[in-house]
Amino acid sequence: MATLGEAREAKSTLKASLGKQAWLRGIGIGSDPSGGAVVRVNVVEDTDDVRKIVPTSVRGVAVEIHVVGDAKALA
Amino acid sequence: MRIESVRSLKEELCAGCVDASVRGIGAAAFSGAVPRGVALGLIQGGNRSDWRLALRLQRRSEQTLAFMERATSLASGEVDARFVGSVHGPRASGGGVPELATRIRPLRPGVSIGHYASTAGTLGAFAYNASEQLVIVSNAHVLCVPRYSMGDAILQPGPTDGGTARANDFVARLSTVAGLNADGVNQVDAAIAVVEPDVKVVIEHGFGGLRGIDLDPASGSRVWKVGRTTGFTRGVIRAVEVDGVEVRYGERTLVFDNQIEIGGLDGAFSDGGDSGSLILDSRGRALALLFAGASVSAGKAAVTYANPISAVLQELGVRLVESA
Repeated sequence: MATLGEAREAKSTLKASLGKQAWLRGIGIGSDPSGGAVVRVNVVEDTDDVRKIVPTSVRGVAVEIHVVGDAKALA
Repeated sequence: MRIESVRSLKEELCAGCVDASVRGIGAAAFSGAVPRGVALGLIQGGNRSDWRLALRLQRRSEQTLAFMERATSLASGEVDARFVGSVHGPRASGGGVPELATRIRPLRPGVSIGHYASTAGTLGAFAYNASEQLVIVSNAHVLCVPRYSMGDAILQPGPTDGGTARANDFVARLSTVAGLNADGVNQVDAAIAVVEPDVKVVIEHGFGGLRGIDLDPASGSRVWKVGRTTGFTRGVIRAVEVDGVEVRYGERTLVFDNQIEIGGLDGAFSDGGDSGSLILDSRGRALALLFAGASVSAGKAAVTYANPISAVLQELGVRLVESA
C-alpha cells in the first residue's frame, strides 16, 4: 500500500514523462479502497493511445485512469 | 423491482400505452405519452438488484401531477419522484434553488451573487481582510468580468437572478482579485468584495456552522456545500494535488495546479451557478472553494474542481469568519 509521499514522487515522475498530451486533463493523487495512495490520471477520453502511454504503475505506485471530460467554470 | 420490469414500465409510459387508464383517474387534460415537464429514468434502490422508476418533474401542473400519480400506481409505489425545477446548462440561468437565487437579507453563504455585469455565482463565505473589513469570498469569475475595476458593484442576487445596481441589490464592492492568469499556471480563482456598511450578514453555513479550516484534505473524505444552483449537496474527495487541470472560461482555457477533485454522492455535486461555494468537511471545517466542473455526458461521472481554501486565503490575505 503506497503512502502519500510515495504517490507524490510517482506523480511527479509521471507528470514529467507524460509532458503535454492533448487527451490529458490532470494528474493527481487518489486513494484505493484499502486507503492506499494511487496516482490518478484524468483524461478526456479513454483510448488505446492513452492505455499505451500511461503505465499501470510508477515506482510501485498504482496508476488509475479516469475519464472526466472537459472542465468549465461554473458561473 | 427488477431492472427489466422498470425498463418495461418506462417504455410503456413513454409510448403512451397506459394512456387510457391515466384518463381514468381524472386527468382529463392528459392525452397520450409523457407530458411536457416530466422526465423518466431508472434509479437504483436500496441494493444492487432493486430498481425504481425515477420521475423528475420540471413543472407542477394538472397533467404532470396526474401522470406522477398514475406512474406511482403502476409501479406499486416503487417510484423515486422529485420536483427538480427547470434544467439548465453549465452557465448560470434562472433555474437556481428558489430560496437561494432570490434577494435574501441578511446575506448568508450559499446565496446568489455576482458582479453587476456578470451572471450569477455563489457567495462562499465571509472573511476579514487586513484592514479588518468584512468581505465576501467567492470566485474571481463570479465577482469580476474581464474588464473590471476595483470598487465595482457586487449584487445579491446576481444579475441572472434579477439583481440590479439601482435597486437595493448592491451589497459589496470588489476589492481584491487572485488568479485567472492566462499566461501561466493558476492556483486559485478567487476574489473578495467589501460588504457595504448597511448590509447585514449571517455567518452560519447552514449545517452546524463553520468551525476551522482543514489544511490537509485527504482523498476519500466526505464533504458538502451549499450553492446557488444545486443547494445542499454531498460529495467525496476523489483526488488531491491535481495538476494540469484545464478549465474553459468562455473562449479562454486556463490551467490550474494543486486542485481538489470531488465526486457527488447523490448525483452531481455542482452545476453552473455554484461557483464560489465554500466546501466543508463533516466536522464543519472549510477546505476548498468550488470553481469548475466537468462531465463526460449528461448525468454521468460528473466531477467538481475546487481550490484548496488555504491557498485562497493566502492569496487574498484574509481570514474566514467562523461561527460563534
